[in-house]
Amino acid sequence: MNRSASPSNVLQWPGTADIVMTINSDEDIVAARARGRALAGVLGFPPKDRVLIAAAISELARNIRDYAGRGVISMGAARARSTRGIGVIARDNGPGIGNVDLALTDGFSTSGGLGLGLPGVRRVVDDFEIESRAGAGTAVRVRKWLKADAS
Amino acid sequence: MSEIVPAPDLPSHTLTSEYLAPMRADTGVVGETALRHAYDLGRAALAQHQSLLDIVVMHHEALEQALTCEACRVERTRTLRAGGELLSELLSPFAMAQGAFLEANAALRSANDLLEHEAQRVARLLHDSAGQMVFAVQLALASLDRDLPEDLRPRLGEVSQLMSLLDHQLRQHAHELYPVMLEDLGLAAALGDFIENIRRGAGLNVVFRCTLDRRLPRELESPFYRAVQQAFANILKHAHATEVTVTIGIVRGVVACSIVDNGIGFAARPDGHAGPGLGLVGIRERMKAINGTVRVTSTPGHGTKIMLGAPLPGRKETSGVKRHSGRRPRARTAGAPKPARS
Repeated sequence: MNRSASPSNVLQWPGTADIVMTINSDEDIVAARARGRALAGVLGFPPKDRVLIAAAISELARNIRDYAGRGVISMGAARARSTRGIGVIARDNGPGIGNVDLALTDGFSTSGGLGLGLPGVRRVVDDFEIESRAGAGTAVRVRKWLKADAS
Repeated sequence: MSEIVPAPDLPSHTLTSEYLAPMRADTGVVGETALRHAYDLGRAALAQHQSLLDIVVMHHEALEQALTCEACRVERTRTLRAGGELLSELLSPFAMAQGAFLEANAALRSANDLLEHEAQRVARLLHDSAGQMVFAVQLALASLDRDLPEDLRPRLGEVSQLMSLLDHQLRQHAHELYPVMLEDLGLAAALGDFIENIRRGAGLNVVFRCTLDRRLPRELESPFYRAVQQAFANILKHAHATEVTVTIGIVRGVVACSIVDNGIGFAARPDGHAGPGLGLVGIRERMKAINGTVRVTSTPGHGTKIMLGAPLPGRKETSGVKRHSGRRPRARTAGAPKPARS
C-alpha cells in the first residue's frame, strides 16, 4: 500500500530472501530466470505456472536493466495461513518511477501498450506491490500462490 | 552450431538458428538461454504485431526441420519435448498480454457508456435550456410586434422566422446527439420517429412492426435504439437496399428485434469488405453490455438479417451466464494473501 516506504524494508517480506541474485547483464537475466523456474518446480508449481514465473522474472529483470542498469532480484518460498507459493522481489537504486500509477498503465510502460512490462507482470501473479521514489530506486514485490488442486 | 541455417522460406528474423538449435542438440535438456531466447522472440513478435498463428507456424516448421536431422529422428521424444518447452516460452508473452486485451475491452465499454451519457446530457441542454430560451425570445418578439409601427413589422417578421429556424436546428442537433424522445416517450416512439425520418430522408421503403405495448426498462432502450441506428447506417452505406423491415417486440421475456434488408449482403460489397465491419462490432458491444445476443445472416445478393435479443431484467437467468462489468486488476494486495483460486 505504501508507495514511498524506504526500499530497505523490502526484504522483510517473509521468506523471500533465500536466493539473491545481482542483475547486471543479459547473462544475469538468464540466470535469474533459471533459478526462478527451478524454485517454482521445487515448490510444486505446474509447468504452465513455471513458464509464467520465468516470464515475470524476465520482465522484472528487463525493467531493472533498462531503467536502473543494475539491481537485485531475490526470491524464495512464500507462506500464508492456508497456502504457499513463490515470492520474488526486484529491487534497484535507479532513478525511481515518478508516477507509479502511470507505470502500471499499459501504454506508458516499456511494452508500448502491449500488456508486457510491469502491467504484464501484475497480471500473471496473485499479489503485486511496488514502492518507488524518484531518485531512491524501485522495489517490486510479487507473489504467486499454488492453486489448491495443484498443491 | 554453424551448420544450422534458417529455412529459406521463412523470414530469418523469426526462425532463428538459436530457436532451432535446442531441438536438434543432443544434450538432455533445453538450457535457460534458449528458453529465454524463445521468450524474447515471442515478446518481439508481440511488439511487432505479428499474428499468433504466424508464430505457431514458425515453431512448427522449426520442429519439422529439427525432426529431419538424423540424430533427432532417433530421439524424437526428446526433440518433441524440447519443442514443447520452447513453444510455451514463445507464447508466454501472449498469455501475459491477453489480460491487457480484456481490460482494454472493459475500459472501452465504460468509455462508450460515458460518451453516451455525455451525449444525452448535451442533447438535454440543447433541447431544454436553449430551446426554452429561444421560445422566450419568440414570445418577446411577438409582444414587440404589437407595439411596433406598421412599416417595421416585416423586418421583425424576418427575425422571428430566423428564430424559428434556430429552434428547429437546435432540436435537430439535439436529436442527432441523443433522441430526447427516447427518454420522454420510449423506444417505440423514438424508433417510429427515426424510421419516419429515414423513409423521408433516404427514400428507403421501411416497414416498422412494433408490438411493444409498454415502455422497456431504461437500460435496454438506448442500446436497442443505437443498434437499430447503427444497422441503418450500415444499410445506407453498404447494402444498396430498397426495402427494410424492422420488427420489435417481447417474446418470452426477451426483447427481440430484427432488421431485414433486401440489399446485396456482405460478400458482394464492391469495396471488397468481406465482413460486417465495425458497425456490427458496435452493435455487438451494445448488446453484450445488456447480456444480449446478435445473430447476423447474410447471403450474397439476398440481403442481410440482423437479429437482436436481450432478456428483460428481473427475469430468472436461465442461460446461467452472469455478466460482470470487467476484470479488476488485483494490485497492491499487501495484507493477508488471498487463498489461491481454484
